[in-house]
Amino acid sequence: MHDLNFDEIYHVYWKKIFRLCMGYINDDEMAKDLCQETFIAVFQQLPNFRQESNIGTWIYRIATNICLRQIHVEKRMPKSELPYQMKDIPGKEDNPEQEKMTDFLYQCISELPELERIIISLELEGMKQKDIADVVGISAANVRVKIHRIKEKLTEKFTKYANPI
Amino acid sequence: MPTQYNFREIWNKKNTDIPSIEEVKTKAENYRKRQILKDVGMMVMMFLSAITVIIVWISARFSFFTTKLGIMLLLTGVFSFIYLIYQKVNILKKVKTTTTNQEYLLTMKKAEQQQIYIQTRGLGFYYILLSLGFAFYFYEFALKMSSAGILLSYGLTFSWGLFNWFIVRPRRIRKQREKMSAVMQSLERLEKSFED
Repeated sequence: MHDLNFDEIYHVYWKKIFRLCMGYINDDEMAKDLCQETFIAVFQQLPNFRQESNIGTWIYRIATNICLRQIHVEKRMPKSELPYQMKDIPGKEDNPEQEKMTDFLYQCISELPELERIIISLELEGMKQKDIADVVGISAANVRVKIHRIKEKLTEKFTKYANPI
Repeated sequence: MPTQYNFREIWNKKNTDIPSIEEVKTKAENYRKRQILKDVGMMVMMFLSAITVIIVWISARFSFFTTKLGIMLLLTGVFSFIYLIYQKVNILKKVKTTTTNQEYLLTMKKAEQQQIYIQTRGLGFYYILLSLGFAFYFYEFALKMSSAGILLSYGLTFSWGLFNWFIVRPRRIRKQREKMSAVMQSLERLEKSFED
């Protein structure tokens, strides 16, 4: 694959990387900034990309590391503990139920520990567990266990959300 | 029995428009230019400081070698301090983003530690240079002063040195450490989450 074309990569991966950043940070504007930062890095480093790994894995590594770098920026701004209901988002009162579910999923994921946010986002993007392991740097078996645990947590939150007491 | 949710389907419902690719390309290009400009600026500054030291050495009309040495030590101190500030920004940028998350965090942690080391050591070096610089610089003038004058000028210089060494320096170091420890803690917490 000699014709690694940035324009093509940009169009294939932009939405995927945006969703990943949204899962990490749950803020549209900040996610767009992280996404842009990722593609700037991809654009700059593409000439150095050696075909040792899959291009997707390579891009996801850059994106997730840029997300992790947020530790420096946000100075651990504590996220408020949200009850199992949606945050009030102006102008979204008349959202269809599906959109609310999507917002709730991104909110739940962004409240997980950083590593879990990355793993579940990559899993939901349809990445193979072996490739997730390759991005994160842990074993595929460990990835499998973590995905199982995270999905359990999410199911529990969704059940509470759907059936408030 | 909890309901099974199709998280992937819900996840993929998140939609947004793809921004113009030209914007990314322009930003990348501007970023590259800024980097080059910064590096060139740094080199020019280092070059100018070396030239200044040479000019001072040649043209300063002081009869004592110690006075010239004092000025040079002072200048070296100031320039190395500027260099340190530049380094602070630079170290983190050198961490490669194409590695795995685990490796990335490890290198980020090492870079942080290196930064703390450089900042604290560098600060010590800066104060030593400044104090020695002043001590040498005053020597020529002190010889022309009365003993009270000598006592006063050296007494003040050394009290200033001691004040900096024992009060200002530890305070700066503490502030630096406080700033970094929050980041370090987060990094260590993240590191542990890989082991779970």
